[in-house]
Amino acid sequence: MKLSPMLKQGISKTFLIILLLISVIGFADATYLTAKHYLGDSVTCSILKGCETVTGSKYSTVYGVPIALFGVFYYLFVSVLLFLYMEGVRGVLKFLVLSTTTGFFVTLGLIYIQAFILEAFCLFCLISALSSTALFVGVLYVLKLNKRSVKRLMPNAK
Amino acid sequence: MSNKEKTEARALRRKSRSIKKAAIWVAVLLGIAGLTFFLVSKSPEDNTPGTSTDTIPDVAADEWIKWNPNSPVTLIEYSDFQCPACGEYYKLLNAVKLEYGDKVRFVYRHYPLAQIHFNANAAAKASEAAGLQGKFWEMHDKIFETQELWSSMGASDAAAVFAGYARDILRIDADRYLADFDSESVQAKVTEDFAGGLRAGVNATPTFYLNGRQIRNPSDIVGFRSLLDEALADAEAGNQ
Repeated sequence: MKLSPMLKQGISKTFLIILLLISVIGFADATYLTAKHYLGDSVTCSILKGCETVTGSKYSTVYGVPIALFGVFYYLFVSVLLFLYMEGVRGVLKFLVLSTTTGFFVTLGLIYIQAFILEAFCLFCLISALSSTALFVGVLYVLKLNKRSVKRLMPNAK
Repeated sequence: MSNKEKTEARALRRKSRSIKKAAIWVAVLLGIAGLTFFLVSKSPEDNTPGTSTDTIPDVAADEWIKWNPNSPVTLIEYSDFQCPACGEYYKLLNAVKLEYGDKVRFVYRHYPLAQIHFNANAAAKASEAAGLQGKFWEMHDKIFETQELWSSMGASDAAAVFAGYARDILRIDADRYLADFDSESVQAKVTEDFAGGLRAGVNATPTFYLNGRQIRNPSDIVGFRSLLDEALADAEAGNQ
């Protein structure tokens, strides 16, 4: 039995394109933070902008590798998976769920560090937090619709 | 070709088309990444060095000068004790001192960003008050080394911490320190440094001036090396 064309009905293409766009935003944002890390000016304080506490803190790198760089690879990975999913490669869904769930929990950890340890937020880090959360919720939604359409087509399937 | 083979061939073609498309997609994303890096590298810096007309006050004899006071090369830092970035530069400058301490003159000037750092002015006053008893740099070091501790405190607690350093660690006359800490002349000294920097267009800390010209903050010791080596070579050439 061929499922895939019918499965598509469950999730609109627009929804997937929106998710893809969000992953591109996250990707560009993480790239910007990485570029700033390697090329940007050193950290300073100023009255207008406050201090670059977050991106200058010891929490911004893991063994010298900026967390933003992990973000770049994460969004690249998720974006390619989403792309393949849109192309009809349904098998990537479980990797999408796995990676966006991981991404979401990492985001929670980073937000915690900003809110309770550094007591400072950085705009571009918050953009990334929003996009990774949106991807997490969006992919879960895709998963849910997917399961529902499988049930509808094969009521006896578990 | 059997039907089955045809279907398989079609599936294979579709698969390779998908992979090709995905590869193009990756290329697009890498293009975005490349563009971002390019734009960041070309963007004007946040603290653009002042124009040549923005001159800072000359170094006076009663300022806080260390390393080699007779050097023709002068590095001036406008700094805020509560600024985390200045705390990082304190560590970096200690490393720079090991290499250039005998070749370069270093001057510390106060630039407390009091609007965002509520204890910065008190810290500056504490260093000046200790300085009146000859312990400016000792207080300066102690304040930077414990920056995280007193930064989050209320004003009176932070002042008590500084007074504790004066009494217990620097072992200077505590009563005199407290009187100086509250004196107008000590506040005036801090304000004077700040005003001089403000007139020259200092708007962030730390801001460094090398032989009177604002420099882009080096992000590591390698950056300091190239700037200082160049200034030292220029001074040498000027002497001959």
